[in-house]
Amino acid sequence: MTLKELKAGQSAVIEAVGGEGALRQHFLDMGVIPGAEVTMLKLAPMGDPMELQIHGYSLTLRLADADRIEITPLSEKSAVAAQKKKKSKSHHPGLGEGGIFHAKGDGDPLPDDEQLTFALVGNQNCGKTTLFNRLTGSNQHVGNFPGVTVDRKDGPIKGYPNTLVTDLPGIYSMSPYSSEEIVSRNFVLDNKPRAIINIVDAMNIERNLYLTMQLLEMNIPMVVALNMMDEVSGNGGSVDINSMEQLLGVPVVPISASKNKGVDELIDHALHIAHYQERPLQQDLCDERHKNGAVHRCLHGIIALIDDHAKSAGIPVRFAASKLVEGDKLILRQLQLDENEQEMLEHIISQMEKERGLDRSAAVADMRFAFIRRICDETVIKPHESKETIRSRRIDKLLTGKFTAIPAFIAIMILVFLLTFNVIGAWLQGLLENGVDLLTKAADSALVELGINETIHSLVIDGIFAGVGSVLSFLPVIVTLFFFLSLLEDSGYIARVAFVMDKLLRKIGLSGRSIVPLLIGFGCTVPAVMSTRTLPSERDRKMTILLTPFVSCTAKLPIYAFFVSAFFPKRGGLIMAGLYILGILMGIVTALLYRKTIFRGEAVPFVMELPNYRMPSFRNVVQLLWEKAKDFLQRAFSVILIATVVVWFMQNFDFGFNMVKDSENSILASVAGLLEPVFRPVGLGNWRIVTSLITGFMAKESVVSTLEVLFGGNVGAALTTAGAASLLVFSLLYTPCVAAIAAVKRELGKKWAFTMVIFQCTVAWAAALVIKFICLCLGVN
Amino acid sequence: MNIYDIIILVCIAAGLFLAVRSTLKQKGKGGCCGNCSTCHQCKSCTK
Repeated sequence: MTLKELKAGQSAVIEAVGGEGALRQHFLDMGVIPGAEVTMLKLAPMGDPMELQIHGYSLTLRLADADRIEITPLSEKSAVAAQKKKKSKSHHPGLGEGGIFHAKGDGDPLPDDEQLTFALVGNQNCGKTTLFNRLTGSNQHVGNFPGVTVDRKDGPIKGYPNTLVTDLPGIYSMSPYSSEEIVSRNFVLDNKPRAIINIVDAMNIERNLYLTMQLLEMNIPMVVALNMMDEVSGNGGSVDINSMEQLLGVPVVPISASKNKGVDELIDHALHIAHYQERPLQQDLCDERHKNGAVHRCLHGIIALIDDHAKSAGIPVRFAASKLVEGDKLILRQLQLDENEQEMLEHIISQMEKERGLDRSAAVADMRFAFIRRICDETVIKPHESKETIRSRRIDKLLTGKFTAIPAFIAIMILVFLLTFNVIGAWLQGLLENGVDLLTKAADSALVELGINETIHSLVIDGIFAGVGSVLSFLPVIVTLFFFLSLLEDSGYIARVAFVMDKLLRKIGLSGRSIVPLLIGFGCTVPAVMSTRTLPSERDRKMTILLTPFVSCTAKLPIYAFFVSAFFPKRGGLIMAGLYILGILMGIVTALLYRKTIFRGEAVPFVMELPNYRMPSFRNVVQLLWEKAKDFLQRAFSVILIATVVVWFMQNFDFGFNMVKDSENSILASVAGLLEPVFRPVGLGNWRIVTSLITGFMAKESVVSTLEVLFGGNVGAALTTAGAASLLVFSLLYTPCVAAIAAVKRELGKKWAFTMVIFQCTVAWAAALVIKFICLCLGVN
Repeated sequence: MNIYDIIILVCIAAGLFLAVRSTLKQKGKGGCCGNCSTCHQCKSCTK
């Protein structure tokens, strides 16, 4: 029987995990290992994926992947009986108290003036960002890890300027499955931080300690921060800190990052182990008594075999050995083993597989989980089902319920959009626009008073103030949208949206998580592109970014409103809705095309944790908003300022660099004139229309204002109804504005941004031609 | 051209210079210090 066949509420024991490669390794790393108990919770509203309970947390899995996992159903009795265990009581520190692990002041200390660097490592949803904010305060620098678009945050610990904590992405293991895992692994191996702060969610301790096991193998000074201990003790659980310290061989500090408890003790321990370079005492995590000691013998055999290679490659030998058993090709390449050694390695592993009765990856995962089980049996009294879990289950009845999930999702998104684009964001945008207007007027009169040259006056007012000001007015909308999105993300709802929508999006080659950026695209393409950073796969991220321009943003609304009122006053609603639907349909067709050509294959597997719903931290939300605002402002005053000045120059000068009185003689008009024949077949062969479309490249709103200026308010006479229809379709689909292109360029690079502009223009032109043809066939002229 | 014209032009030129430098820095060129393994100041760092 396979996991796919398990009914809701039934439990089973995993017998074998099928599949191959990185995906299978990811299953194992997430705790889906032979012998683990799993309970099926429910199916997503569309029947796929499924939600499971394993090692005390919720995991989602597609049915196709679940079909590869063999199980034996479990009766309820045995499941309950297995949970009853007694713990011996011992004295140990509580939340906010220091442990007794250290004989402080020993070891080989680093020089006092040496910077202490820390890597903050932990699973996703374990409170890592909250702890990072607690450790560093507002003194953070946001950047990128080299070569990948994975956010990197650094900052010194508050009160210790000669320290630097790097917040590594949330990961489940050190296997090279996702770019986050590769980045984290390379950071620890190459940058060699002085110490690791490993944050562990004490409510999900078994799965979180899996990463701890791998970090211990790195042989770098480490302190374990047991987060959410307030929830553990609040729900009747407890952890024997001293015993856990002894078993792990590193200091363990109980903390509550959200309540700022235990963080000072954590800092003390972290500084101490980093300064005195106290490495983990325990690295031999393979018990020689466990299952005939096959894995133990195998790992120690490999350690002896590769010791010299690991030393010369600068990789901790224990870590290298376990990765070789798992079949990690990157480590194998770095070690540069010769042919004999590789052959011997294969023999050792094959013998272990034979003796252990499990394949190599499963055997290593089982070894780690066996060690974790021993630790948990000896030190952890599991909390009863927490208030948070019960609350989450109740909320999920509505938000992921079979008949309520999609209506609830639509209602929440409508509310977010209404508040962003109509109420809060729009109000703030109005305020900022008024502010920019006042400033522009003040600057205008000041320039007049100073008797400034007319050209410079025009550059400052019509160019810089108008251009940067109009882009700047997007800031409140973007900040408000990100405010709501971070609330949804931090509360745990976005993970549910992905769970609910996965089946639908898989049909066009994307995974459930892509729904969020696509929806944001209805508001503004810039934050939509920025929000794709949360997508785990590079392929999905690229594809989602390239599809966002098909989702009509709000800046195009004035264009629709203008032409609909002028040409189709009686069918306004129908035309507007039709345009939105056309955009979505074109996006679907393009996605299917991408799937068959440049983005072949399937979307990433949907192996994802569903965290409990939590109240988002005000501090985290404010910090995120500040980062987004800063990022946008930086861009507004760099790329957009340059582009504004260039367009102003082209609009006001001719090729002889003389200022023109009539914009018909400007460089822009000449360029537009060159493009005029291209637009003639689609009914837009007029330099004024072409110019307005070019200015729409700067900001979509300026299409209408340019048309007004160039046609003197008589655009109706210059266009036919069929021309207006094709102009509407062209505006819907052609290249997004320069701010969006800059965002795409930053995420995917110059080549993709340029390709996207060309592709969108081509698609828009072809669609406009088809619309014109349809209009002519219908007798509309 | 009066003195104010010159001051404004100098300010705009300085602003454009800073904007170009910042843009190049964001591209990982020009403004890149070359010490990417420890810097990461430029957001499109690819080294």
